[in-house]
Amino acid sequence: MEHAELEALYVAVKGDLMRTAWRILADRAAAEDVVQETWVRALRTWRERTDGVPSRAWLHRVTVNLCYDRLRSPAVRRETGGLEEAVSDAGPEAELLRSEATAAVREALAGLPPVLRETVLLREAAGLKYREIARVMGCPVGTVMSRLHLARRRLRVILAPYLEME
Amino acid sequence: MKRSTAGRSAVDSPGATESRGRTPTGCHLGVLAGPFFDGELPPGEARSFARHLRRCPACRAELRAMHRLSLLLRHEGHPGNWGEEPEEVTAVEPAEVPTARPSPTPSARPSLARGPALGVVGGCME
Repeated sequence: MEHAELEALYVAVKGDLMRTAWRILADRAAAEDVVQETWVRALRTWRERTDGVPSRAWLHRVTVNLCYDRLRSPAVRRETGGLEEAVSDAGPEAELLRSEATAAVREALAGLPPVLRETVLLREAAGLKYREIARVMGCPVGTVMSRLHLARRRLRVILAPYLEME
Repeated sequence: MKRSTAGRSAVDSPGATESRGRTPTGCHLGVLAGPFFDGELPPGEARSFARHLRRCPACRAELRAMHRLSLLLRHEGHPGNWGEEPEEVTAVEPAEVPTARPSPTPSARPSLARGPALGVVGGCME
């Protein structure tokens, strides 16, 4: 892969990476930092020829993992908003509920084994197809399916109070 | 007959998936709700599962829960603001219209969001 190809790939997927990062972090500035760091890592990997060749799925995987590292950081900022998905609700009660749900999601994800967490985030936040997740995680598609099934079941149990609420 | 990962026969022959275990909502075919929701079932299987959904409130509940979980994980929905069902879910809407009296307009189609009572004529088995 030439440098120009890598750059073209990054430009093509940058918006998707930003969306993925925002979906995990719910913080525009933090998401921008993560996408920038993803690019730095892609350049380093490309130069050093380590850790595989950067691809769309590879970039998403790095983004997801960087986001999760950031969520675990005590310095993580809790500002939200900035993207079109951040639709504001009518009142403070709804806003509080949204905020509680966001915290509950983070806690639930933190409780998952890393391999299940990465699988479910690559699907839900990054929107990768099963085949792409299998490629980037180095496992069969059937394994992706079973991990996803397991991760969702666990998350549904933990997040049941929110999921059952109208 | 060529079989995919989820297997067409899984829908057509319910007993074939017993070993996979049941979903929280009870139907053993509920395990296909994930691949169906993700758009990962081959077209033939997706059609079969969509037919199954017409008769299975457990699988419809499974699909609805999956939709909500997906929204929560993407910070795009939360209690009080679940929004509309995604295309994968609304695609099964026409099948839920009673065949004896077709809807006059697309907007009159029932939605999964209206609950499992619509068009339910039996249990979850084919």
